[in-house]
Amino acid sequence: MKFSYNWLKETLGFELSPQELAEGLTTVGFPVESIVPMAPEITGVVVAEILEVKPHPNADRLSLTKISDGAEVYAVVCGAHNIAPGDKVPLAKLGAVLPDNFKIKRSKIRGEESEGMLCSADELKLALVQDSDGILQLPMAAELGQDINNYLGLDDVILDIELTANRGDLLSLRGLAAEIGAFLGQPFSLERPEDVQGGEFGFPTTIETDTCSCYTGRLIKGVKVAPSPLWLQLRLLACGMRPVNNIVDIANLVMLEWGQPLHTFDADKLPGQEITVRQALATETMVTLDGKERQLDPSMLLITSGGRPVTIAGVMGSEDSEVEANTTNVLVESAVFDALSIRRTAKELGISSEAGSRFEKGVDPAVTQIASQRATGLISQLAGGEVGKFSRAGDINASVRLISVRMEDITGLLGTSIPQEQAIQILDNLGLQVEAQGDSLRVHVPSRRRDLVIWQDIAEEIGRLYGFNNIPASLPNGSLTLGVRNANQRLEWQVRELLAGYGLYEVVPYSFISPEMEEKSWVEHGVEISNPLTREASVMRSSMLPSLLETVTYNFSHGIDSVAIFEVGNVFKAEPGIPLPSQTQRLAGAMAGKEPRHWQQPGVLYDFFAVKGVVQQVLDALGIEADIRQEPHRQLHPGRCAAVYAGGVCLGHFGQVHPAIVANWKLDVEILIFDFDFLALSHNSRQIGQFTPPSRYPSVRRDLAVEANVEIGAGTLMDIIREAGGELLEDMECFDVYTGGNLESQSKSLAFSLTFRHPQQTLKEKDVQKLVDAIIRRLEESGARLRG
Amino acid sequence: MKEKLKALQAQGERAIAAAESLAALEETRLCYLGKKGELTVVLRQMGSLPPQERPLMGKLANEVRDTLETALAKARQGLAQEEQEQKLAQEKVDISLPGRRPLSGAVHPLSLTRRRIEDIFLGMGFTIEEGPEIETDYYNFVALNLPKHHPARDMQDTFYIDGETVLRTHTSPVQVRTMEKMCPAPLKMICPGKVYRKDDDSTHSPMFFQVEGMVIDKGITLADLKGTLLLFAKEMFGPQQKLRLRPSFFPFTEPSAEVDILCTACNGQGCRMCGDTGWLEILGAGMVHPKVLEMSGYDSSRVSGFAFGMGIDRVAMLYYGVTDIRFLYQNDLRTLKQFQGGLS
Repeated sequence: MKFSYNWLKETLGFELSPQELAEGLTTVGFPVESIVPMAPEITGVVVAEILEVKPHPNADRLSLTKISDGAEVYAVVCGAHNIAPGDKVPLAKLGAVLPDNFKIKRSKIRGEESEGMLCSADELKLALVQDSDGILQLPMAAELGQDINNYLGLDDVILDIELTANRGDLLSLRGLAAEIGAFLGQPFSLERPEDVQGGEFGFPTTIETDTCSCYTGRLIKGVKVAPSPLWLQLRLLACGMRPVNNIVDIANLVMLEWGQPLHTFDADKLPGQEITVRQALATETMVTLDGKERQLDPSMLLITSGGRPVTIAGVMGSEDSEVEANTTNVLVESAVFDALSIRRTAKELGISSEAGSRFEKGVDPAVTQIASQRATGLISQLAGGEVGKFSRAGDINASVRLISVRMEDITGLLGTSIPQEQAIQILDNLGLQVEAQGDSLRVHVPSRRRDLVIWQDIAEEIGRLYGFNNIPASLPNGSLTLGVRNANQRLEWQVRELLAGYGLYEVVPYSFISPEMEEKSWVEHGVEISNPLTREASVMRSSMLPSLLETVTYNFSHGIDSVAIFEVGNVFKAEPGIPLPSQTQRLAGAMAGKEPRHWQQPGVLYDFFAVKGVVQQVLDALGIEADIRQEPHRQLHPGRCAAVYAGGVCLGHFGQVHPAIVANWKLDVEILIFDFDFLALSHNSRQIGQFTPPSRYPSVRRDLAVEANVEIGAGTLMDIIREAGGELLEDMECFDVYTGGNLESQSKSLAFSLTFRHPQQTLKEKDVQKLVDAIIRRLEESGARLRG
Repeated sequence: MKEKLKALQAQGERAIAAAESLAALEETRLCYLGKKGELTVVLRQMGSLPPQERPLMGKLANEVRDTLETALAKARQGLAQEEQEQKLAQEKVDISLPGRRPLSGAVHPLSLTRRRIEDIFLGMGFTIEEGPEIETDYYNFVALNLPKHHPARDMQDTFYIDGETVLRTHTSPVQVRTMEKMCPAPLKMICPGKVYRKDDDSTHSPMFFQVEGMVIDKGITLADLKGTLLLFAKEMFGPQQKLRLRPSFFPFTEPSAEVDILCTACNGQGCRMCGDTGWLEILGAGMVHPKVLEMSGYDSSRVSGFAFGMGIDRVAMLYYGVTDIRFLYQNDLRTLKQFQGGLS
C-alpha cells in the first residue's frame, strides 16, 4: 500500500527519517518496497502575487504581468488567461529548474523581457484538478516568497509498504499509525470526528441478504461539486491516488484515514427514493463506471434502488448514478459487506479497486458510522449542503474478542521466556487491553484486529514486537533420527551421475507443453491446465518425448551440433474415476548429431548402437539382467527400436525416433532416445552382486568367423555360442560384422573372439577344442557355418 | 705370435670404435671373437709354439680377448644409448594437440543445488519425502488452513486442472501427506520437488523447485527453527552466515517469518544485489498452525512443530551467479557444460 510519510509523521510526531521508519516497519513484518518522492524535483519556484496584468503589445494571446515575491517585483510574460491582480501563483524565478530539467532563463518574448515564468500544475508535474486551465491558483493565505516545495509539502515521500494478507486493518492511517506507535512505544488511536447535526431526511434502507451485516446511508442536499482544496488533493497524491472532485476525494480521504471504503451516489440519479441491499438475480445486468456492461449472478451482492442495481457492492458503482459536476444531492454509503462475497465477485469480474481490496480483507464495523460522520462533515464543510439523518439497516457488530494465554505456552512456542510485564507492555502499545491473571494474560481484542483469534496469535504479537531477532537459536531436543535416502532416491542420484559420466547432460524442461508438441510427437494428450499462462504451456505432458525433442531442436537451432541429454521427471495421465491424474516417474534421454570427435578418430554420428551402449551400460551398472527385444513402438523407427524386459516386465524402450516425427519437428537428423519407467528400473535393480574371485589360471583365446543369413540376429548366434561354451567360456566379443563383397546377397559374416578359462586348473588344448567343436556344431545346426 | 696378437688387438679396437650401429658392432665381434674369428684363428696356432711359451701366449691371448670384450661392451652401451636417444627423439609428439578426453556430461545445476540442500538436512536426521505434482485442492490449500476464497490464496497464483485439482503451488501438500502418514509419531522431513505458479519473469518461473521442511515433536520452538536454519545457512553459504527473521504471514504457520541470510555477494555490506540492505530473502518459515496440526490428526496441545520452505532455484542462482531464472530451464548445452564439475 502507498502511504504518505509526512501524514504519518504529523499524526504521530516522530523524528524518524523515511529510511528509519521503513526499517522499523520491516522489523515488525511490513517491508517497505520503495520510497519515492511524491513530486519530481523543483527548485527556485516560490509563492508570488500578481500585481498587474496588461496585454502584450505584440501578441494577442500573451499578457505582461508584474509579480511580487514579497521582496522584489518581476516582469513576467504569461500566456495563460486565468490570472488577475491579487492572485497567488507559483513563480519560477530566473535560474529555477522545473521537472524534466526545464531551466528558466532570462528571455525576450515577442520583444518583451520576461524575468521568470508563472507555473501551471502540469508544468510542476502535479496531477491536480483545477477550476480552469492555466496557472496554478494558490490559496490567498499563502505566504509570499515561500518555496513551493515547502508550501505544498512536495518534499513528502510515498512509502510503498508490503502488507500481509491478514492485516487489512493496516490499509489506513488508523491502523498504520497504531502499528508504528506500537514499535515506538507510543500507543495511538485515531480521534473520533464530531458529528454534524443532521436533518430528518433520508432514504429508507433495507437489507435482504446475510452478506451485508450493516448498511448506512446519509443524504446531503445542495452540495456544490468542485475541485477539492489543494491540501486534500495533495494528500491524496502523497498516497498515490488521483484527485477527482471534492465529493469523491473526501470519500477517498476518509477511506485512507479510517480504512472504511465509502461510496457516493448522485441521489437524484437513483431510480428510487430508497436503498435495498440484496443478492443479484441471474437475469440482471449493470453498466459499471468503466462503461462495461456486466452480467450479474446470484452470488453477487448488490445495492439497488427502485428495484434496479446501482452498485455491485464494494466492487464498482454504476455509470448512471455516479457523482458528476452537476450533482447537487449526494448519498454517502458506509457499510460492512461480507469479505468472501466481495472477494469472489471482484475476482469473477476481474475488477480490483481500493475499496474492494479493503472489503475483501474485512473492514472494522466499529468505524462504519464514524467514517460516514467524518465524510459527511467534511462534505458539508468543503462542498456545502445540508446533512440528513443516518439511515441504517443491520447491526453494528463490533464486539471485543477475549483471548486468554498462559505465559508458559508463549515461552513454549517462542523458545524464550519473555517477562510478563514486558509482554503486557507490548500488547498495551499495540492498543490491546490486557489484564494479568496469575501466569495468564487476558487480552481484549478490538474488532479492528480481525487477525487475532487464537492464543498463538497473541504469542506472535508479543514475539514480533519483542523482536524475532532477539530470540536465541537452539536445536530441537529429541532422539537421534536416521537421515537417509530411500532406495529409489539413491538410485535417482546414481543414475544422474552414471549418465553424466557417459557424456549426457541432465536437462530440466517444463512439465507443461503445447498440444502442437504432442501432436508433432504422436503422443497421447496429457492433462489440460484450465488456466494456462500460454497455449505453449497448457498441457501437463503424458510423455517425455516432446520435451526431449524440443530440447534437441532448441540446441540445434543454436548451432550446437552434438546433443546428448537425459531427464528424470514425471509424466501425467488423467485416470477416469480417480480424483488425481496418475503420475509416473520416467528416466529418458536423447542423443543426436555428431558424437564428440577427436583428431585421431573419424567423426561419427550418434546412431542406434550409441544409445544401445548407454542403455546397456546403465542396466549393467544397476545390476539389471535385462532382455533386449526387437519390439515395435509407435514413436520409433520400425527397424531400429527395442524394448527392455526384466522379470517379465517391460522397463522401457529405446531406439531411433520415427523419421516422420523428426520431420514434424523440422529436423533432418537421426534422433536416438531411451525412455524408462523409473520405478520399474528401481524394482529390478540389484545393487550388490555376488563377488567371484578371479581365476589364477591362464586363458585360451579362439577367434571364430561365422557366416549366417542376415535374418539370423547376432544376439541369437551369441546366445548359441554362450550356451554351447558353457561355464568355461569366460568372455565373448563380437569384433567384426561384414556384408557384401564375396558373400552371398542374403549372408553376413560375424567374427567373434572367445576367451576360455577354468577357475581351478589350466585348460588343456584338447578340452578347448572340444568346446569349440561343440560350438561350431550348434551354430551349423542353426543354419550358420564357419568361414575359412 | 706376440706381434700378431698385438696387431690383432689394435686392429680390433679400431674396428670396434668404427662400428656405427649395434648390428655393425656384432659383426665386428664375430669377426674377431667369434668361433671363426681372427683371435680363434690365432689361438689355433698355439699348438705350434714351444710348450714353455704357451702359458705366456695363452695369457696374452686372454688379455687381448678381455680388452676387446671390454671395448665391445663399452661401445655397445654407447651405441645402445645413442640408438635409444634417436628412437626417443623420433617418438616426440606435439603435446599441444588436444587429448582424447573421456566423455563427460553434467548433472543439472538445479539438481546439484537440490542435492547439496538435501545432504545438509539428511546430516541433521531429516528424511526426504515426495508427493504428487498435480494435487487436490484439499492438500494444497484447505489442509494448510487456506479454505476456498481465502485472501491468502492470492499469494500463490494457481494453475488449475479443474475446480478441485491444482498444480501444487508449493511442496507443503507433501508435508500434510507425511503428517497424516506419521501421526501421532514425531516427524522430521524435507520435501523437495517441482512446484507451479502463474508467474513468468526474470526471477519467477511458472515451474520451479522448492524444498520445504517440517519438524513435529514435543516442545519444538521458534528458537529451534532459528537454530536449524542457521546451521543450514552456515553449511550452505559459509560459516560467516547470519539470519534475520522478519515477522510475516502464512496461513499455515503462526508465528510466521521471512528469513534473510547475509547477502552472499557483499557479506552484509550492502550492494546492488541486495538492494543495499545487506540481506537476501531466501526462506519462509514459522511454527505450524495449530489448525494444520489438528487437521492432520496431531493434538496441538501436546506437540508443536516448525516448517520452512525455500526456492531451490533462488539458492542455485545465488550459488552460481545465475542472473535470470529462465537460463535454468532453457537447457542450452552451453549453459549445462559449465557444470561438468558436479558437486562442490
